[in-house]
Amino acid sequence: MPTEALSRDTTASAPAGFWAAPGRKALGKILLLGVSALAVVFLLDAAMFRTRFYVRYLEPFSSAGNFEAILAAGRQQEFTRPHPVLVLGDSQASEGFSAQVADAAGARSGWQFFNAAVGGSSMRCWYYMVRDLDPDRTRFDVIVLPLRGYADVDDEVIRADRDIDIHWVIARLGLADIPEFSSSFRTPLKRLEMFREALFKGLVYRRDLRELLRDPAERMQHVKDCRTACADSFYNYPGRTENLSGLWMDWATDTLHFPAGVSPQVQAEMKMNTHYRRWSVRGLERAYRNVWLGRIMERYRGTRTRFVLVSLPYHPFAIPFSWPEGPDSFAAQASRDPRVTVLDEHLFDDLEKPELFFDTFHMNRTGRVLFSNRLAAALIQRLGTGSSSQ
Amino acid sequence: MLFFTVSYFVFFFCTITCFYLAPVKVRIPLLLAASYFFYMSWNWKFAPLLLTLTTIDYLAAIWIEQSRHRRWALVVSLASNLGFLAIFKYYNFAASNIAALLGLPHQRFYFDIVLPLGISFHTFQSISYVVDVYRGQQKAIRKPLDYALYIAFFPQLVAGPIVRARDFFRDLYDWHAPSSEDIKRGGFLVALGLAKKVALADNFALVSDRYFGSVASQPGGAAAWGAVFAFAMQIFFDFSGYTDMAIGFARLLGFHFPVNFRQPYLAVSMTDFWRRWHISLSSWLRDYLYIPLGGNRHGKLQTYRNLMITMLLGGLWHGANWNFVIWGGYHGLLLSLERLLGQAKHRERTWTFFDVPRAVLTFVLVCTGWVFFRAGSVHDAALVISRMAQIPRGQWPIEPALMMLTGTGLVVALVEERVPLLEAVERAPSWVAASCLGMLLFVVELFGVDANIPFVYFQF
Repeated sequence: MPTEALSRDTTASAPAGFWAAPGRKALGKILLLGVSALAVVFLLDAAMFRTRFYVRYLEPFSSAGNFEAILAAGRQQEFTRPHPVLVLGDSQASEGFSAQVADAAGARSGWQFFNAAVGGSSMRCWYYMVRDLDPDRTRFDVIVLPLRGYADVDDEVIRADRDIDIHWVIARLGLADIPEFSSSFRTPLKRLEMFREALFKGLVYRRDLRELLRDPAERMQHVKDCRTACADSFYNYPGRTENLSGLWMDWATDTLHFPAGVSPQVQAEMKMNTHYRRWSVRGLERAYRNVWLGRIMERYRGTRTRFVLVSLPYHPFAIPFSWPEGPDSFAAQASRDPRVTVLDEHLFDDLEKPELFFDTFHMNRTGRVLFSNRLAAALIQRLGTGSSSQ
Repeated sequence: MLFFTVSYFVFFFCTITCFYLAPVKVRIPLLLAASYFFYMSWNWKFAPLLLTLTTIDYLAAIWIEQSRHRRWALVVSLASNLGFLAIFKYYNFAASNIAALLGLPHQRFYFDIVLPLGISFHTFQSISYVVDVYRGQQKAIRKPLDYALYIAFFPQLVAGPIVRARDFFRDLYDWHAPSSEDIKRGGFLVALGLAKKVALADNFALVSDRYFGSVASQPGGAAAWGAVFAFAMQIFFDFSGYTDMAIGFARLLGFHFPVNFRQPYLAVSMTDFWRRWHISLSSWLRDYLYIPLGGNRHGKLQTYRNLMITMLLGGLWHGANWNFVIWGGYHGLLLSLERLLGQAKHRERTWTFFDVPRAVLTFVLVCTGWVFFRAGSVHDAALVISRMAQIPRGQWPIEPALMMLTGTGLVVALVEERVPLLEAVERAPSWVAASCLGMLLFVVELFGVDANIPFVYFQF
C-alpha cells in the first residue's frame, strides 16, 4: 500500500516543502506560548507565596517557619528599657545566648536584649532579618554580630555558596531582592538556580507544602499552638541540659574520645566537624563577611546604632591551632569604624569546655547562662549605660 | 541531558531557534548535528556505533532496491542490527547462564559492557525501515543525511516512540511549519509530560524504590500493594511522560509522531491493555514478529504459540534478565487465555462505568506482572507476590497528596475516553492554552522531586 511519503520521489533533490517554509512565525508563536505559560506560573506562584496566604501556615519548626517566627517575635517585642540590643547569629547564638539571662544582668544599666539568632542561618540570612525587623533603622542601640573567631577561617563550608540559605529567607525575598540575592553566589549555575528559586518560590516551599498536605488540620492546629507560645518560648528557653564531660581529643592522632551516653549521631557529626587541620585562611570567608556583615553595617550608616563583634565559644575544647588575624581581616577592618566595638577574641576561651557543650558547636544550659551573663557584662563594661559611650 | 533538566531545555531552545532562523538549506544537517550532540552528551563513544548501524542500513536498503540478491542485503542488515543488540545487551545474560549451566561462576565469561543508550529503540526503527523496503512498502532513502536524521532524531532517539519510516519521511518531505494548533498541542504535551514525569512518576519512584530496594525488610500486604501500585504509576507516568514530551518537542519542530499511550490503565482486558500501552512497540511486535510468525492464521495452537513467542521476545527486549522473560511470558499467557475464553475481541465502544470491574481486574493483573518487571530478582518477585496474597495490613505508603494527584489523573483519563482533551486544547484560544500549560508547570513546581531520576525506559 503506497503511503503519502512514497508519492514523492525521494531520490529527487531538496524536498520543496521543507525548504520553502521558513517557519519563523512559528518560532515567534512558540516563544510567546512559552513566555505566557511562565507568566501564568509566576502569577499563580505569586498569588500563593508572595502574599501572606501561605506563610501563615508554614511549619513553625522549619527553616523558614523558625525564621519567620523569630522575626514576628522581634516585631512584637516592646523595648521598655532605653537601650535595646539585637543579637544576631545562628544556632550557636540561639543555643548559647539567653536574652532573659542577659536582661537580668543588664537591668540596672538599661540594656534590653532580643535574641534574633536562628538555627542554621548564615550572615546572608541575618541581613534580611535585620532589614525586616528594623525597617526604619531606629529600633536598636546595639547590634551584636557573633563570629567564629576573627581570622576569617575557611572551614568545611564555603558560606558564599550555601544555597540552602534560601530556605531561611524565602519569605523575605521580594522581587527587588532577587538580583542582589542571586548574584551573591559565586558561580553562574548557582546564581541561575537561586534566581529561579527566588522567582518561583514554590520550588523552595514545596517540601513544606507536601508536609502540610499530609495532614492540613494538624498543621493548622500546630501553627495556632505555636503562635500563642512561640514568642515566650524563645525568651524563656533555658537551654539543653546534656553535656560532654569526659570528651577529649587526642591531638596526636586527631581522634575524639567520647564519654558514655553520647549518641552516635552527635559522635558522627562531631567527627565530621573537627578536621581543624584542614581549616585555613583562603579569603573566601573574609569576602563573605565583608559582603553581608558589611551590608548590615552599611544599612545603619548615619544612625545611632552601633555594632559589637564577639567571638563565640565555638568548640567544646581548646584547640592547639590558631590562624593569625591579618590586618585585612573583617574584624580588623571593622574595628577602624568608630561605630564598631570588637570584643577580645579570647574573652570567652575559658568557656570552651566539654561540660559546657552538648554537641560539637552548641553550649548547654550552664554554658548559656555563663556566656549570656558575661556577654552582657562585657557590653556594659565596653559601652557603659548607653550607646554614646564606648 | 534528560528531557526534564534545565540543560535540555537550553539545548532545545538553542536548537529550535537555530532551526527556524537558519537558512532552509541547512536545517536537516542542523537537526542531525543537534541530534548527535544530544546523543553524545550521554556518552560520545557510542556515536560511531550509531553511525555504523545507520550506514549499514542505509546501504542495505539501497542494495535491496537495486540488487537481485535482496534477501542477502536484508540478512546483512538484520544480522548487523541484531548482532550489535545481542553483543551489547544480551551477551552477559547469555554468558552468565551458560556459566551457570556449566557449573562455573556467573562472572566467568563476563565482560564489562555498557549498554549504548537507546540501542533497543533505534535498532527496531532501523529493522522496520529495512523490512519495509524489502516488502516494497517503503522506498529506499537516497539522501544519507535524511536517513541519518530518521534514526538519530533527538526527540525519539533514546526511548521512542518507535517511529515508522513512512510517517517520518512523510513529515520530512512534506514539511510544513507547525500551525498554531500544532504549537498549542506540542507545548501542552511537553508540559503534560513534564508534570507526569517530575510531579508524579518521580514521587512514586521514591515509594517503589524504597520498597523494592529492600523487599525482605518490609513485610505486610499493604506495603507490598502500595509499592506495586506505586511502581505501576511510576512506569506509566514516567514512560508516557517521556513520550508526551518527545511527541511535543517533535511537534514544535513540525514532525508528527504517533500516539504511544491511550489510558492503558482503563483497559478492560489484557488485549485491550496492549492496544493502549506502548502502542509503537506493540504494533512493531505485531507487524514484524507476530504476523511474520503466522499471526492467528494457522489455527488456535499456532496463534497461542505465536503470542507466547512474541511476548517472550517482547519481554526480553526490555532487558536481559529472567524477570523480563517471565514478565513477557506472563503477558503471553494471559493474552492466550483471553483468546481461549473468547475475551480478546476488539471493542470499539466507549468506556462506561459498567467496565469498572473488568478494568480493575485487568489493572490487578497488570500490576502483578509489574512485580517481575521491577523486582531485583525472581526470588524478590516471588516474595512480593506472596505478600500481595496476604490480607493487606499496615500503613499505606503513599502520601495523600500523591493519591490526590493520581485521582485527578484518573478523572482526566476517564474524561479523555469520551472527550479528546488535546483537541480541545488545540482549538482553545491562545490565552487558554497558555493558562493550561502554566497550570501544568505550576504543578511541576509544587510537586516536582529534586532528585534527577532518569527515565525508566532509558535502561532498555
